[in-house]
Amino acid sequence: MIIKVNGREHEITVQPWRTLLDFLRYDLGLTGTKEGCGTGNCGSCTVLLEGIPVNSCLVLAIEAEGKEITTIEGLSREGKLHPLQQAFIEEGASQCGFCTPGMILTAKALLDSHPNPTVDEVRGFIAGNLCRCTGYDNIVRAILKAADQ
Amino acid sequence: MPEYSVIGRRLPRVDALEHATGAAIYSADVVLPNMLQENVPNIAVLPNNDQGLSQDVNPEWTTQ
Repeated sequence: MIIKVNGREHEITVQPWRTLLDFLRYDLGLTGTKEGCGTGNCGSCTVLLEGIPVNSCLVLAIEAEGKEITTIEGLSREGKLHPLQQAFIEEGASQCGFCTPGMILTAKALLDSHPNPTVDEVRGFIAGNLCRCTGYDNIVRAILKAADQ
Repeated sequence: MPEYSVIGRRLPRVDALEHATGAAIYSADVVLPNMLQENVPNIAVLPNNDQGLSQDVNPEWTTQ
């Protein structure tokens, strides 16, 4: 089947039970997508499937046939950081950094659909992405900062 | 108040760029030569008869 990851098409053969997460991490080597719980609770494995944030541990690779996937590696173009990545760096919105890729992709989906969210909208939208360091204030601030730009 | 070079200044975290780009390497991201990887099942499906494991078992980890 054909799968498109970060703008690049791959023609692949994949086991029907392989998760999109394992496919990205172990077949394509894109380890920026993290596995936290593996059960759809933590959001660390969030990727964009046709622009919609999904827990890639709960999506089978075969479900993404012909679809466009965006991972954290696909966000910066030609060495230029996405405004969200820049804002996360400037606001110190990562501590251990494990939730950061998923957090940034969820935030991208929010800003793509709601360019000027309120604080409550940001907090509500990232509810599915857990930060065990509990650095939510800086994360929310970074997302709002990116929205301003 | 004396001028300090570090205290009171906003400094970027040294690992912030790696975190924001997904480039940071955690132990689960390391692959070494001849390293075995295994999927750990989240739900154990116990044998419900003397035929062994039920068909619900992910085939990937029954063969490992």
